[in-house]
Amino acid sequence: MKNRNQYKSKIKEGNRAVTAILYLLAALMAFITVYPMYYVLILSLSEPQYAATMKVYTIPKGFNLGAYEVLVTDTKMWRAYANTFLYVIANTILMVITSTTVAFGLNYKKLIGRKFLTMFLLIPMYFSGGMIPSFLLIVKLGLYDSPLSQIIPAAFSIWNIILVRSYFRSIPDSLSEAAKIDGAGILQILIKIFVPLGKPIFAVIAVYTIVATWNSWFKAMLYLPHTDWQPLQMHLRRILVETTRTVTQAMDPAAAKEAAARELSNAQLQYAMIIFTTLPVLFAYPFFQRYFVKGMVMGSLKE
Amino acid sequence: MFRKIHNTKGESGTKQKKKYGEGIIKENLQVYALMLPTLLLILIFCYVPLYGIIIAFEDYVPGSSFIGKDVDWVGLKWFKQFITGHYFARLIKNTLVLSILNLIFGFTAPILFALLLDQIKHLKYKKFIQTASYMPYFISTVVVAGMVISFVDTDGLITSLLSVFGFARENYRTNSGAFPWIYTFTNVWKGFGFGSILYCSIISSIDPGLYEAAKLDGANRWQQVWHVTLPGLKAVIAINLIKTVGDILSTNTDLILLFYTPATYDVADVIGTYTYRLGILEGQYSYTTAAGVFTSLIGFAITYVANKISNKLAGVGLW
Amino acid sequence: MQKKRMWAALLAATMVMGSLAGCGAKDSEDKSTSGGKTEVGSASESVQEETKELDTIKILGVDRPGTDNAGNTVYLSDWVNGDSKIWQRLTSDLAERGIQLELDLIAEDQYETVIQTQIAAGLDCDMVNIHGVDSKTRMNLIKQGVLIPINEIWDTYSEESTKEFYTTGDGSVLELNTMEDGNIYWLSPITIGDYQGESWGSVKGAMIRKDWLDKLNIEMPETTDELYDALLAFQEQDANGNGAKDELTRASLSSFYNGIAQMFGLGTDLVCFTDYESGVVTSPWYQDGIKDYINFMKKLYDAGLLDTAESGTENKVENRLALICSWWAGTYEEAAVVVPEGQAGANYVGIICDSETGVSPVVSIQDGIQKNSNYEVAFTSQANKEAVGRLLDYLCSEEFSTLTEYGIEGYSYEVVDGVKVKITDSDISEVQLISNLPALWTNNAILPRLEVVDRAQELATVVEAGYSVGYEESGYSDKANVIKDIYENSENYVFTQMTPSASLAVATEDETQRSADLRADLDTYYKELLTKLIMGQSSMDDWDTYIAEMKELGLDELIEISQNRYDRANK
Repeated sequence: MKNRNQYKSKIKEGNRAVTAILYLLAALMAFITVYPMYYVLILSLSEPQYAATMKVYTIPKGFNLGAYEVLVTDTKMWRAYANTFLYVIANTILMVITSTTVAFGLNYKKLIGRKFLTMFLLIPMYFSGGMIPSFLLIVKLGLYDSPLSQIIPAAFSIWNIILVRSYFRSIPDSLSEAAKIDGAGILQILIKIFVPLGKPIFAVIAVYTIVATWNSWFKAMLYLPHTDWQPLQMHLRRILVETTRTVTQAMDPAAAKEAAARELSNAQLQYAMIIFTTLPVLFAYPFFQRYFVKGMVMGSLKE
Repeated sequence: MFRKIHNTKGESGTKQKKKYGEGIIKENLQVYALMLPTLLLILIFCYVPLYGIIIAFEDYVPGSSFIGKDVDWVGLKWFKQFITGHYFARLIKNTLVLSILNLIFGFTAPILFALLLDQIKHLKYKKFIQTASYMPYFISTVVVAGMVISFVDTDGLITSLLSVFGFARENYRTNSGAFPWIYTFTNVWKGFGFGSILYCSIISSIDPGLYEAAKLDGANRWQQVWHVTLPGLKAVIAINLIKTVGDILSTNTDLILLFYTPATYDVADVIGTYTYRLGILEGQYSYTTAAGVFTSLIGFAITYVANKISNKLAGVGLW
Repeated sequence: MQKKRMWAALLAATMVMGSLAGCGAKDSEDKSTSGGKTEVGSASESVQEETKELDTIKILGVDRPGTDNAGNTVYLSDWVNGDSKIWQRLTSDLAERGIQLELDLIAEDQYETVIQTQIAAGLDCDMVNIHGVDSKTRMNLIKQGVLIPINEIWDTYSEESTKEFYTTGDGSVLELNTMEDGNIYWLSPITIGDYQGESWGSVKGAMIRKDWLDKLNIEMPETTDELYDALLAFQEQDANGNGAKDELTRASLSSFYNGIAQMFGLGTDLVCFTDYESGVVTSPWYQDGIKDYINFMKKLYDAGLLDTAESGTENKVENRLALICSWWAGTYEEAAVVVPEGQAGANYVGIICDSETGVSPVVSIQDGIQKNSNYEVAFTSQANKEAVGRLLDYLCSEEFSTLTEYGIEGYSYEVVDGVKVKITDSDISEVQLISNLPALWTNNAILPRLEVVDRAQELATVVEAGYSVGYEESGYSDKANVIKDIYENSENYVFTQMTPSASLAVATEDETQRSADLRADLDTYYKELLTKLIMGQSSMDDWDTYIAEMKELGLDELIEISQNRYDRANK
């Protein structure tokens, strides 16, 4: 702790004017990224017809909580919320475990068959068999229409393995060696040295996985034909897709009429839905940010 | 000190060999035991379905078998059709232009932003900026596109802003010249905050002692960034760069599909959007798979070469 | 610290609420709450006990939603699992015929993916909505014997009247679905329009803001020049009164189906009929009015009169659209337009203008007995053919058509002077729904629709819709009169078929593949060209080059394919 404060005070010595400019620049960046969210928020609170125009820039035009009312009373949405939480938790835990173990293995200096293994990991990053073979596999494994179809195939990511591996590389070998001399086995080296030192990268992987799981819908679209176990994003997407399917595409009068009605009633709903579905995950990042604080890693090194 | 870490690494490699030679097999078994569950998952979920690629060489229709006597083999027909297609050159050109713009802006923005954040020492302010920056990542592409389309319309927010600077008041969505910039900006804006998470985490793991040492040597703010922070990020920048370069033939198809109009086809129609239109016309599973295999092969080759170069020049790579 | 606690609290709250919902859902999981597999027995159970065992027909279809007056989205599965009287009537009707349905309902947005993947894995149902299944896949399913010929079923297992309906009656439009082997494998929805004994389809085309014309004292334009002047006047005299020159024409730049192209006699698609009656297939690019059309659109574009956004609700809602392309008898477009307080609502009226180039404008219209192409249903080899035969009897009965369009007498409609009148002021969600839409089991859900429209009644409804939006005396009579004139003085009009492909015979395998190969590039080419010509980015001087290029891309071959298909259907 002391070390960090000392370091903080020193870096402040830089040019004040430059510091001010940098702070302003950061504020500007924050503005252009926060504004759209704010924009979505005011659209979600405006009267539906104004929400449909999208020309609401500063404060809500009119005030209407109708969309939120619809959402809060929507039991299907709450079910989808719970599903998403389940997938997020399961996937994050599994992802950190799978990435860490393989990355650790790859980082092991005397690994036999490394060349083969790297190729084994590289090929799937670029080639896939496409939708139908994957689907047939899921059916064969008995995962179709089961929540496990959202967890097991999403439990690993080759890119995350590479990231963790690259991070592990920067951990000095002397630490493992010292542990070995103390009689530690492979598993102990992983748990005693790499796991504590890898916290920042685990935090990154966790954030990545949380966000990816939170935003994912394609696997659900393919493997979950019924809404019971579908995640939140499928629910959101349903509203969005229904809204964007334009009236002109409808081939008969009744369908056109229906589309027109939905277009308007969903105009506000879609924005409320975004606010509603985004809030929890926005808090995931600050939660993990504490692992990104300078000096933490080196601090744990000294323990 | 940074360099020292790397040096010890090299030395230790050779040292280890002598000391622990006997246990190698046993240790390898342990290491593989750790990796096995994940490797099995990869084998099952990535490799088993790979046979699907075969449909690029046949005339596949859902419901028929992939391999067997009733398969209608067509050889390289789809590849030929794709490469000799009327729009092939334009598709490649557009894809490359958008990818290169993404490489220049989309790849660098998260790094610069992470460096900027690092300069902000007020912790609460920093946390706020950081959290704010990744918000756009959560707004669905459909909504982002709708928003941007509305912003660049004749009386939209951005058009109004631009007109102050003497730009014409028009619907920029139908302007071919503006399209690549709108696309790139939207992409960068949506992704830079999220992309910077990785860099922020790596920066946080750089030994503060290195900065202390640099300061003792009289390094100013920029020199510290240049001599300490950037070298610390070198490895992760390299692997990200290799990946980005490897993805040069893939673009954010979802976003383009929502953005483009026939008026901007000449700059916006990319491999992804073209195969999408093919697909909705008549299934065309084989043709679109062939196009996919084509881009994958090139991506794979580029990655392979880029990795070689990176390993040689920077000493880091994907593997 | 505070923040963290808040987050934890929020997390806990959402999880608790979520799991509550989850538990709630669990209770009824066996019967599924949300469009899962559903045995439909509730209504037919009692019937089942009394009479013989019912034959089950297992259907894979879409869980179609509808929006009731309160803005709630109601799904077909809600009807099935809830206490919908209309659904119960359907099941009891079917039970009388010894049939019960077992449904596997999939959300609309997901259906295309589910059906494609399930076909790849092998279908497990008796009846299936094959919406979104491409023709190559369909042909493959036929080849593999998965789909069975429906004509053989009605020949063997249905009542005589059913057979007549499909072979010589209104249902004979389905002959267009005949495959190369002479069989019919899927049923399409059918709309039968009737105006005083003659069959008439719906019209879709350009519609202008009649209320703006009246406000500015402009006569209904009869030529395209007058139309241009009127559209210009809207802007210059600020027809919507918002102080900005933003009164726009929404006519797609990249498509031939925008209402304006039809004023220049052009067909509605890249491949179309020059002459509806003679059935000669051509392309708008070869038609006489094409250059004049492009020049006219260019004039609109240059004057800033075209809505370049082309789609989306913004301009419509903001009361800016002077001209749109829509269904002439529809009144839902107006409902979305927000007019200033105190003014009468928008009033879009169908408009046809002569182009002064000697080419007569065309009215794009559906057939009087229209085979709709928005979805089809098929039967698989596992189906009990005898049961399917009885289902067909029901599907072409008046009983089914009435139940689908009007619901139950005394509950959702009443008969006044021999005319069925829907009850519109009910508090019951499903009655509200059926007053606006057909029953949720049709329109791309599970069963094919058989719609019988009394066009005169339809026009009366159009007029009526105007009473409540500020036209107390006349209603939307202008709107209705334009359509009435077409029905009654049809000799004054030239017609074009709205969806040319709807009257073509089913394409053969080769034709399908060839069309797909050609269309990918041709569509890209012509849409881009049309847009660039109108925007002035491509020059009309290079016309011959463009045509040559399109020929090279196979336009003529595409026309030939369509001509062959037309000839097969009309031999």
